[in-house]
Amino acid sequence: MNWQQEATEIESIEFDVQLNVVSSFKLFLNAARKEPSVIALYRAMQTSEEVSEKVLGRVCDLSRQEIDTRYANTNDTALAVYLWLLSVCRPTHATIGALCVVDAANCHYAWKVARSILLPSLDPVLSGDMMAGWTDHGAEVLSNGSGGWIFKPCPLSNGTRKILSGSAFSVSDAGNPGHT
Amino acid sequence: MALSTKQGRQIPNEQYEQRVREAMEAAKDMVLANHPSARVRSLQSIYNCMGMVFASRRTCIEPDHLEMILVDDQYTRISESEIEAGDLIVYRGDESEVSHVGMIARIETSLATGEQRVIVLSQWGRDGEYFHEVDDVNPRLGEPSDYWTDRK
Repeated sequence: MNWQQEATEIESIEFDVQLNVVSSFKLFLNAARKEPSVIALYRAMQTSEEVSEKVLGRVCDLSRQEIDTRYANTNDTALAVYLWLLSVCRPTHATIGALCVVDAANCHYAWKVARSILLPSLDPVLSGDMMAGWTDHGAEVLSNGSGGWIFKPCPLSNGTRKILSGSAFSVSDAGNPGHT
Repeated sequence: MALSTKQGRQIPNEQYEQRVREAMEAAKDMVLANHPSARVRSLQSIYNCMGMVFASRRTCIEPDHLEMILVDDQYTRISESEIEAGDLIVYRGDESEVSHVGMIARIETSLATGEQRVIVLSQWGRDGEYFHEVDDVNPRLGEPSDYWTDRK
């Protein structure tokens, strides 16, 4: 499956501009899920483990790219979208991706996605309306009891989470007691 | 940053980093190409539409906090025929959720037709601040919905 076309678009400045026209994280994700390139990549990741692994690799590569730290990270939008797709399609991959993203400087939306993945008990917000119609892929999407959904990523395979420190995350207890 | 309503309730907010010039220029080009009434006021990305209106362009406030601010700051809902420069317009998207906020900049009346043209000033997410006609916005910003004033 060729995912390069979608990746090229998602990493483009035009895509970055289009999604950053909105004013909140929730609206950002809502806009992202309507983008044809995001839908196409989602479908590819659903059916292909290999594509998901390549997206994870891209997350790690983009996270490591040097940026001009006087400005916002130019990869923020792409990282946020990739990480969100991983969280929907491959939760374990998403956890690894989130660990890469927390080391990327000057992110905004990408850090919010990462935080929701790594610290869902503190930041349980990848909510639900964005997941409507996306629940047939095996990701863990739970009803919040009020007509919406709450996203709960899976823990690492051994049931533990890495404890993080740094500017974006300074929480000593990153456990997830609400998740089994 | 510390920010509160006139009633003293805290307004959660966060400051963004400025985006690189190339991204802001690309944003400007796309806005101007797709929205004929739009004119650039400023190309900054450290605040959002709510931050432009309620925090003097210093920070970002989630649109979810709009209702609290309107109540605490004693805004009154008005009809379109009552608006004046300085009043607020709220845009709403799916399920009437607040998606965007702008300030009425001026109201122009065509000498030829007598029709009124409402010009709004608003910050489009992290893509810059624009003057634009009331309904000439990116579809992701929702539809013009309600008007509010703090005039006494």
